Order: sequence, then C-alpha cells, then structure tokens
Amino acid sequence: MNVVQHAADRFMRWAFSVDPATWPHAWIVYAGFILLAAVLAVGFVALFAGPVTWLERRVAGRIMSRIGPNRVGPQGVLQWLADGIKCFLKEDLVPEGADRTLFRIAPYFVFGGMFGAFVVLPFGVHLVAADLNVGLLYILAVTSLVVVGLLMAGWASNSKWALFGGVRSAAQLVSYEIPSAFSLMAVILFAGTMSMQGVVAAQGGWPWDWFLFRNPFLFAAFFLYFTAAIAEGNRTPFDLPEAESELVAGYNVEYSGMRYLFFMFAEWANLWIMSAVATVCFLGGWQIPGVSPAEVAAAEGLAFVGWQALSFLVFAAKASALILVVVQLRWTVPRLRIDQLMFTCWKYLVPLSFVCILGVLALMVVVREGGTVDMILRAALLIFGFWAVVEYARRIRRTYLADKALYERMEGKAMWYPPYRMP
Amino acid sequence: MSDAADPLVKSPANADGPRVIEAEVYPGAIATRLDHAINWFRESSIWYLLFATACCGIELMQTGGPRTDLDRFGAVFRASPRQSDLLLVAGTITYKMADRVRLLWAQMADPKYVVAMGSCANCGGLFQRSYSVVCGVDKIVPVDLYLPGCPPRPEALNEAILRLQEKMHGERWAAKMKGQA
Amino acid sequence: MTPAEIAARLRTRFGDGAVVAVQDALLDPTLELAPERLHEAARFLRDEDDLRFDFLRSLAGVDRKEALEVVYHLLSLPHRHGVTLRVRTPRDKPSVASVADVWPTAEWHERETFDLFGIDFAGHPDLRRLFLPDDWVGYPLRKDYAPPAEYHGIVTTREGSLPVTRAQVAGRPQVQVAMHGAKAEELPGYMRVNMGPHHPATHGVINFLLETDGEIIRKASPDVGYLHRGIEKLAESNLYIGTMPYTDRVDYLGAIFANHSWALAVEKLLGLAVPPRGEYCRAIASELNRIASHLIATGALAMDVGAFTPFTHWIREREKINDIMERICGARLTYNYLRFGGVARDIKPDVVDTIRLWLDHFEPILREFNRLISDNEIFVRRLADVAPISAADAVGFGLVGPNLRASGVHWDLRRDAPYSIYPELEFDVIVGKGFRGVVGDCYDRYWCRVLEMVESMKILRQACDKLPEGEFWAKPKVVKPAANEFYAAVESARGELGAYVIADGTDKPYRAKFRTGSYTGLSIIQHLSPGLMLADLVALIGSLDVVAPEVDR
Repeated sequence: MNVVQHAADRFMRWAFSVDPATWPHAWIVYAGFILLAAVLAVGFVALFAGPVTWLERRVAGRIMSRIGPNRVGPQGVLQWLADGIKCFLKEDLVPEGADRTLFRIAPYFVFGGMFGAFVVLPFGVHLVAADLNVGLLYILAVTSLVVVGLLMAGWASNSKWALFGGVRSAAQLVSYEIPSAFSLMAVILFAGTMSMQGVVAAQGGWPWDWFLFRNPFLFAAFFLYFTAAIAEGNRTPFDLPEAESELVAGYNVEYSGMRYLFFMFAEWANLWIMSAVATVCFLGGWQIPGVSPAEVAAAEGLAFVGWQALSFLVFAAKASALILVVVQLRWTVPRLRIDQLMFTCWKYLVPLSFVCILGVLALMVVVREGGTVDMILRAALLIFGFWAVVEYARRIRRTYLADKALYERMEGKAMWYPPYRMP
Repeated sequence: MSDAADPLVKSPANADGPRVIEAEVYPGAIATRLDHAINWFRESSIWYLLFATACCGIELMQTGGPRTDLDRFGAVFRASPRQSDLLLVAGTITYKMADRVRLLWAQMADPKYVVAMGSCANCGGLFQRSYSVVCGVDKIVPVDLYLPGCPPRPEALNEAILRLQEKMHGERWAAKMKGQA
Repeated sequence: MTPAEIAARLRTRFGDGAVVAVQDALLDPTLELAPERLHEAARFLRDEDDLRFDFLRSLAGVDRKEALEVVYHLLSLPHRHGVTLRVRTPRDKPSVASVADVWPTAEWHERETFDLFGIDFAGHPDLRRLFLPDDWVGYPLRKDYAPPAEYHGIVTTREGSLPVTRAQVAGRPQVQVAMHGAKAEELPGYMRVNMGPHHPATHGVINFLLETDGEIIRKASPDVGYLHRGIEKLAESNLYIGTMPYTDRVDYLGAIFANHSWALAVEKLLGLAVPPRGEYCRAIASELNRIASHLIATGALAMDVGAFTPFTHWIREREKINDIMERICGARLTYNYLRFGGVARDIKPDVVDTIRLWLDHFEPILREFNRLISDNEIFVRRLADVAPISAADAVGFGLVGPNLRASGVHWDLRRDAPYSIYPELEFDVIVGKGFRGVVGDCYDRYWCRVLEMVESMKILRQACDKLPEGEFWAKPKVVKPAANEFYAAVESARGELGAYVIADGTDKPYRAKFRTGSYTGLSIIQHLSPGLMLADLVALIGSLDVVAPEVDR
C-alpha cells in the first residue's frame, strides 16, 4: 500500500474533515507529505552516515592496532558532527579555470542519485516511502546517476588528476552495473516480482527461509552482488578512482568543505543502499523470525507501532552486519589495478552471474518448493553458512590470543585492553 | 655567508643584539561563547595535509601510528590541500620547493593553519648555511606554531596539535575567515 | 688486476699518452687519463674480457683550483676488481667526453656534475640541471661560488628576514610556479601530467613528468632536487666529525649506514683501527637499522598498493626498534652514533638482553605479516610480473642493494667487499629467483627485503652472542688526515652507500661525495616506464625503495 498517500489521506480527513479524492487542495497536502518523507529519508541517512564513520574509524583503529577517535565526545561518538560542521564552515572554493556550473552541480547529481534510491527501501513492514512494483529496477537505474556526477566532477575540476579519477570511476561503475543487475535478476526470477516488499514477502524470518540459503545459485548470486556492489560504491579493493596513494584523492581532489562532504555523504549512503538491497534480496529483509507478515498487518494501535519498530531493528541489524564486513574489508585488502578490475568484472563476474540466472531457472523448474530436494539444499547451505561464521569467529579469537601472548612476553605485563573494553 | 650577516659571528653590524619582533594585537580579539562553540567543532577535526619532505616526515608517520595516535583527536591526514585545514611543514624546504609550498598553502581553503615542524622548517635547522635551503618556512607561508626538534618526538607533535587546538579555541571565527586573525 | 696492470693494458691499446699518470701514492691508486682518450678507454674497460668493468660505482666532480676534475670509480662484477680513473679539464672551458653510452647510469651522474660544477659533457643525450632550479645562476660546488642574496623574492639568510609579520608573509603575491624540467622533450599527442613533488607517498618530494596515453605511460622522467640541501658543500666547511650529523640526513631511514661509510672513509684516511667491541656495536646498530628501514620500505609499498593496515603494524614494530636505538644512542631517527675509531656509547648488557627479547617477539610477527599481505592474491597480482629489471639493465644503471640482487646479481658488499666484522658472521645473501613471477619484478624486490629482514635477525643474534669485552672507541687525538683520498662503501638497506673523501691535510675535508642507492634506483624509472600503467608506476617506485634525501642529498 502507498504509505505516504495513506498517511496524507488520514491527515486530511482528521485535520480538515474533507474527502481527499474530491478536495481541490489535496495536492498541497500530498506535496507536503512527500517532502516530509524525503526529509525523513535524508535525515535517516545523515544520522546513519555520521555514526558509521565513527564505527569505521574505530574499527580501522582496532584493525591497525591503534585507537581511533576517542576524545570528541564520550568515546569519540561526536567526531562525525565535528567533521561535518567543520567542513560546513570552510571557504567555498571553486578552482580557477574550472567549469563553474558543472563543478557546483556535480555533487548534487551524486547526492541525488544516491538519495533517490531511498524511497523504495523497505525499512519495516509499512515503512517504505513508495513501494514501486519495479523497485529493484528503479534502484539500479537511479544509482546510475552517480556516474554522471563523477564524470562531471572529474572533468569540471580543471585538473588532470581529477580527470583520471573521474574517467576511471565512470568505467568502473558502468561495468559493474552488469553483474550487479544480473545477480539481482536471479533473485527477481526466484521471487517473481521486482517490488522490494514483494521480494521480502517471498522470504521468511528464519534463516532457512532467506533466499541466501534457498539454493546454491542464489548463494553464489549473493557474493556476486556483494562484490559488484562494493565496486559500485568505490570501496577497497575497488577504490581506484579515489586511490589516495596514486591519484591524490581522485575525482574530488579539487573539492573542499561542504561540496566534499556531499561526495562523502553519498559514499556512505551508497554503503547503506548496497547493504539494504542485499538484506532485502538475500537475507529476508525486515522479516522477524517467528512472526508472519499477516499477523503484523492485523495488529492495531501500540502493537502495530511495536511491530514496525521491531521490523526496522531487524532490518537495521542485518544491514549493519553487512556494513561491518565492508568496513573490515577496506582495511584488510589492497586495491586492484584498473585492468585487473575490468577483467574481474567482464571475465569472471558477468559469466558467473549468467550461470547463476540459468541455474536458478533450472532449479525453479526441477525442484518443487517444500519438497525433499529443496529441504536438503537449504539444510546443506545453512550448515555451510553457519560453519563459515563460526570459523570466522574462532579465527579472530585465535589471532587475538596469539597477539596477547606475544605482547605479554615482550612487555612483561598484561595486554592493555581486552576485547570487551574500549580504550 | 659574510661575517656581517652571520648571526653567529659578533661584529659591529650586529652589535646591538637580535632585533625585537613587535607583537600585533588584532582588533576584536576576544572570542564570544558562540565562537567557542564553533571553534570546538573546528579544533576537534583538524585535517592535516600529508606533506612530508624529510626526516620529520617519518616522525609524522610514526605519530599517526599506533603509539601516539593523532586520529584520537580527530586529526586525519588528507592527500589534497583543498580538503585540509593544517599544513604541517615537516622537513627542509629548498628554494626549488618553496614556490610549491606557497602554492599548496594558497590552495587550502580558509580557515587554515601552518605548523612549522622541526628545526629545518623553523629556521633552516642545521642547513642554515646551505646555498639551497630556505631558512625557515615562515618566509613563504605565515606560521601559526613553531615546533622545535630535530626531529621532534611524536609526543612533541602531539603537544603541538593540542596547542593549536588551544589557539583555535580563542579565535574569532568571523575575523579568521576575513583573514585578520 | 692491479691498477698498474690496467694502466699497462690501456697504454698498450691506446698509446703511452692515454694514461697521463698512475697515482700509486693514493690509498685508492688512481689512473689519470688523457681527456681525449676517455671515451674509448671507457668502452675498452667495459668490453675487454679480462677487464669487464661493467659497473660505474661513482662519478664525482672535484674543483682543484687550477682545473676541474672528474673521478670515476669502476667495479667489475664478474672479476671482482675495481679501478679509479681521473680526468682533468681546464677551468675556463671545462668539457669532458660523456660516458653515458658506455654506462647508462652515467647519464644522471653527469647531469649532477654539470649542475654542481658546470662541466660540459660532450655527447650527453640530455644535459641539463638535475638538482637546482632551471633558472639558478652559478655552480655551487665550485670553490669560488657566491650564493645569491635572494631567489624569487625570498631572502637567503635568516638574519635578513627579521622582523616579519604574518600579514606581510600572507600578503606576498602568488608566484607563478615554473614547471621545472619543462625544457625536456615533450611527446605530441599525449597528456602531460605532473606527479609530485607533493604526492601522498612516503617517498618524499620527487616529481615525475608523465606523458600518458590514458592510463598507459609513454614516458616518465623523474625531476629531482626538491630536497637538495647541499650536504656535500656543507661538509667542506665543517670539521670531519661535524659532518657526522649531516650523514644522518643523507639517508634518514638508514642513518647508521651513512654514518658508517663516513667513518670508514675518514678512518682509512687517518689509518685508524676500530676495537672489536666497537665493530660489533656498529654491526648491531647497522642490522637494527636495516630492519627498521625495510619495515618502512615494505610497509610503504603495501600502502601504495592499497593495503593501509600492514604499514601501521610495521610502524608499531618500528617503534620498538626506535626504543632500542634510543637506549643505545639517544635518538630515534637521526642517530649520530658512530665516531672515528668506534661508537659514541656502549651497548650495555641489559640492552643486549632487550634486543634478544625483541628478536623473539619479532619473528612470529614477521610470519603473521606474510600471512596478512605477502601471500595475499591481490597483492601478488599487483606486483608479480610488473616492471621486471634484467640483470644487464640493473648493472648498467648502477642499481645496488636489494634492487640489484632481486634481478639475480650476486653482489652484497657485506660478503663481497667486506668491512667491519661481517667476515666473522654467517648469513645468506638473498638473490631474486622469480618467487612469484619473473626474476627481477616488483614482487622479487619486495620479497628480497622481507627475507633480508630474516637474515638481519640472524646476524643480530650472532652479534649479540659474540659481543666481546673491551673498549668501544679508540678516540683519535687529532683528526687531520694527510692529503689523500679514499672511497669507502657500506651495504645499506638501499644498497651501496659510499663516501668519497678527499683530504688536504687540514681539519676539514676538501671534497666529500656521497654515492647512494636510491639515486641510481630512481634513474632507471625513465628507462622502465614506457608501457607501464599508472598504478604499476606507483608499485615500481615503491618496490625500488626510493627515499628523496638519498637522491638529492
């Protein structure tokens, strides 16, 4: 259902006691509510992007065996606020010789491309600004606007390094759209709908109902989509367009202050979109384990609000876990060279995503839902996934203990911070 | 260098002793509470330009490293001068490099600061008598803070960042943006 | 072959006048050649089977009041013998034949000599200034050089600039930055990009003028001199011991090595012997410094390739070495530890225990580092098969140290031209064999450094065990070596770091020249870069472990 319209209708009936279908001024209220929804979405991203930078810097610090921001506010949680306001207070620079108009509007294209995707993300049972029935296609299309923005930024900066970064990034983003779209195609085929809420509804709350563990081709499609999405977001190992040690900040080398912040904002927003789409398509979205959507839809009053909040938390938790993986990946892996990046896309990811589509189609025909083969596949994948997570945790623990022993041997005293305490 | 110009050699030319630098007090130098608030944001997020010429550059990297972590104060390094607030001149500046240091400083967005790190940036250091070394980066860019040392220890650089924060705290933001502070 | 035999061969081939004199009295017997025979003699020396002087170690200009000289130090890697040549040219029109076509490394050395002395090298492909700006007037290393009073509006003395207010400095008009090296040939149709001198790499202020065709580089010429501090000229006005802190700054990552080469040269000139404990202290400090330098080199390479984390881990480990060095000599980076006849401070037993403890701590961390980055698929793909340097190129361009050994050449000064107590210590010399790609690619250079760290740890253990009792500094009464000259070289982390010192009987040197590893390492980039991608260029520079002060001095 169209949440925004529904809410606007109820408001008009309550506030003005008019029938929305016939009232000539209904469009004003609709516009107001659309604006409100947009503000909420932007507000969500702003409130999200900041703390995620804090998380990234603390995680980076821990990976690099240092601390990260911990002075600005308790444990450094206000660092992002200081960064943002400081950038806001900087001088507005446009380089001499730069194309002024394009230079100024390039961040807005990037910003707009990213934020446009937020309207279809289902944050909860009914928490979606516009449940388009071509939701996934819309997301893929609107995030392509970023390419235009980056190319504009690279060219308009009147700097050869910016040009390098812009052109590299255009090539990369355009190429990685393909495996990204095709892996999502596998999901669309399996779910039977492009609508985001529809894809979530086709899954369930428990892990064995998630698309991730349904069949091996969807399992592979998840990793393909994840890799392609990291490349779309210009994150290491695909952060060539903004490779610091080569390109001196790439396409945003001439941007300062608020405009630079727009680019960074968009990067964090993209992180969220990528994780959110992966969550929706593969990890069951906002579905709460043990509660069916019908039950939630039938609730009234306070229970209704409670279910909305809980589904939002479930969604946020899943997306945050993926974001944590992306953040850790940034500080662990070196970056690919441009030709290796292109080979990876065209020679590995694209053929593999074709295979995934064909495989999903084949299994959809052959395997009956709920039958024995289906159960065996789900169980096998679930056990594999569970083992991988457990092994990951054990590996971390083993490395931590070895590190602790080394430290104690060298320094002669206990290691100064255990994993549960923040320095 | 001739004896008259060489400050280490006593001669009639410099018999009066070193000249005194007059301090200049800028108008409206008292900061208001709003300024303090704004300055708290600015000093909590000092982005410095990764500009390392010589040995001080290694100590700068060590300071950004695990033992003395400048990131705790919110000070991260940026590669592009457009995005940085602080030009930390770490190392010797030669005449060939001087124009470029000036260009880097000019490219930075206001409000900006310069810290001369190490003896070479302060006054030429042990290369003062060299034919190709600028005797102090304050001949090229206005310096806010002089940090002695050859090279300064990470603790000293840490102290410099804290002193810079103190300095930033007492500024009037509007005057700073107009270039008077 | 002795210099007398080589002189006889040259005289047989080119006539008696080819070798003007055989200076046997010098510590380094030198052949003075006639200028007109230089080029042919050079080619003969390089190509003759029993001579095969394929390695030009150092090319130094000297200002001898009545004439200008060029001194060549040659080495034959196959036969392991060396010879020193000298050519004199009149002061009013100095011109010497260029040997750049005989030894490619001479191209840069001759540019430097032209820059600092004004000697014209006939036949040089591209003779222009190397270190100083193109509009500089005068040749600084000549004895009669007078520095200018100001350059581009900057007053050249400290005294003349006080008092200065910030408003005055801030209000200086913006100087139009000259594109140094702009006279260099420009290829039509390609994009010209300036990479540096401020570039977010740890390699310092070095500029590259790139001509690129999109992502592929057609030509990359290094433009250096942004850190040229005139250390060689300053050495002429300091006492011998006064130059020791300056040698720290010649290579700040390998300060002990620079100290060591300076001490070796002056000790040879003085005829001074170092007591065994002093030698062992020097070796311990050297190997600690080698590990510290390789930590930065490998970490910086990893950072250039995109992995930020290994660098910080390496910085953390380097802090421990800094602590040990601080206990030994009081400084973290610019040690100034060596003196003529020994070392400044003793390495006490508790410091030796700390070193042993640290070695036990560091070995597993090195293994962990290899698990983290050295075996990483992306890292290997970025470095393997990238910019391989053949052994012939490496020798011709004068590469030294891990760069040379990674190309398969077995040459390590510690084993092949030993000094200090290295003959008493057992260690392997790491030579590249195409560990993950071809011989001499970036990964080989990287891996050679990692393995060299392991070897250094071995040497440290032996040195700590064998450290003898006794005095550590045989202090000379007076440092006034008689008129003579000597070239001493040590194996630094970046290769051969040599000091060529000419003494004239006073307490200050007449000429001091430092030959460094990164200098030649940087000069090969122009030869290797056509066809590389931009990302490969960054990997190449990182794998060559170039530090700016070594290049510019």
